[in-house]
Amino acid sequence: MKTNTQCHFSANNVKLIDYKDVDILKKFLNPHARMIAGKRTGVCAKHQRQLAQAVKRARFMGLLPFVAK
Amino acid sequence: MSLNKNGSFGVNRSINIENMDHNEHTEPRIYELGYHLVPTIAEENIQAASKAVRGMVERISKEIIAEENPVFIDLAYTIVKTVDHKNKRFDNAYFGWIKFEGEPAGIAQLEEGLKKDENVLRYLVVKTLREDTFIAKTFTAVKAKVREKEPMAAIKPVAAEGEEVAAVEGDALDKAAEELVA
Repeated sequence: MKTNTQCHFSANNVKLIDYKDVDILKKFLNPHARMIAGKRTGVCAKHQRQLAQAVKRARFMGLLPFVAK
Repeated sequence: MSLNKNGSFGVNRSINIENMDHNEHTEPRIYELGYHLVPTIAEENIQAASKAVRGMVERISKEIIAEENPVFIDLAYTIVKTVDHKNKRFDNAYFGWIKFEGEPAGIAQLEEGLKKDENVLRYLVVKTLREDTFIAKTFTAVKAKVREKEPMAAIKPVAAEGEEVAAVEGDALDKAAEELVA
């Protein structure tokens, strides 16, 4: 992930990050289910904000955990 | 914020609160309702329960754009719902969603209905876009890029049309590798 210089979402022309896309959201979480900094994943600020929103929605809906061991 | 003639904020503020109830934005918007149905429903009754939810949406919506019927999923954590003053715990649920066009005032009405429905474990209404926002498919492109970086795996199939060619190239590569090692 670090090697990719461009934001994953910008590269794929993503307009809105869907909270139901759990598989994709999981790529941006660490094993504790905390979000990984945009600096590490190369996600641009705009999409990092959208990603945060999507992760929070997914957590509320029980699709992603709030905490994991 | 500015002071009015009386030197207080009170009057202005009360007007703002009155106006706040969905009058600011009255144009139709695209929404998506995601909902969990309780897992205790028998399988043959799930369709009926999801139709009840769909009915609530249809009442306030002009157009249903897309939807997915409830599917049984494991929840990431235990969700507690209070039923008849008793806490019930659920580790799985039927998750479905509906994308529709509606007006902000209708959403309040929809939420009221969902709160009363005993079959609905949890719901979420979000603003979204008309287009499909699932990106799982397009993301294969990124995977392909990653694969390109694995040199041997990507190059070999291209050269493998004639076996001899591949073999020669393999020898050449071996030699080159040996030279590098030496």
